[in-house]
Amino acid sequence: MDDNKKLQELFKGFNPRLGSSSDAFMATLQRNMAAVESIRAQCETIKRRSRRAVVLAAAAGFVAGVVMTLLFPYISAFIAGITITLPQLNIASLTFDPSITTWAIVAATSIVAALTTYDLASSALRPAPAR
Amino acid sequence: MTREQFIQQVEATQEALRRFFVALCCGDSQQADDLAQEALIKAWVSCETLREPAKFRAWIFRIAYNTFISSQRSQPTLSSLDDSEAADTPSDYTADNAFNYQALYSALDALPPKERSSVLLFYMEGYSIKEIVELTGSSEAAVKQHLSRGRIHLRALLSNP
Repeated sequence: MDDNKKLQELFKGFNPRLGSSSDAFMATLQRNMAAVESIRAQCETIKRRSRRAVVLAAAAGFVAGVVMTLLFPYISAFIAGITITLPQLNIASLTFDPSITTWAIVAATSIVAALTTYDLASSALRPAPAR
Repeated sequence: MTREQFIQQVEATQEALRRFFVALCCGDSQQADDLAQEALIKAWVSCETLREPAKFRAWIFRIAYNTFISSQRSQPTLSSLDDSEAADTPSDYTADNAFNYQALYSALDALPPKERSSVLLFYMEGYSIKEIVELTGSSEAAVKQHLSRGRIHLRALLSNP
């Protein structure tokens, strides 16, 4: 209890000296806050651009998929024609299903279209370098 | 909370916050200002999490406490230095031009960071044990133990400087 009172007395007049004036401290703080806000704004812009690129990539992938699906009968017939003109591949043609190959081509084309669009959109939406 | 509101609140509390940091840093006002800036920027970044603006002061002191404890964790302690090395080390106390509190700073410096924080929050800032529990996230028993040990250590250090 005695220690408690002694410490209360000791800290009563304890008034540590500050390193700089309040104005200087607040000016530094506002500069730091402005820097944080600038970084935040840049991150937001990058996020927005990335979101736009993803939307464009998804749209391109969807369109490519639809177009390739509409072309499915022609592609399938073309692939079947290739297998018929290769009679020496008897073993392979036993398990060969032209529709599976066609679906694989549709999927691959859609994926390639989406990825290419994402790359193109990302580079087109990139901000101009700082001067 | 808008930027203007935040600045207004900081203007009202920054002196107390900086004095608390100077005491935590045992008189090193430069390090104290750096930690205060770091704590205030952390507060600004996460100010959406503050539900009750009336509790701004307690909230900012909680961030200050956590900033100080993290800084202490990342700093190497001087306890491994022997006496000759310690004598060559420039003293932090010279940062406080007044030299008025050298004995107190020296005693505070010898306390572990959590003990030092609890003692300063209780005696310097006038927070109750319950408030310190909320502020530091420690249990009531731990805060009481920090205060009790801090009292004993300070008495020993201040009576035998």
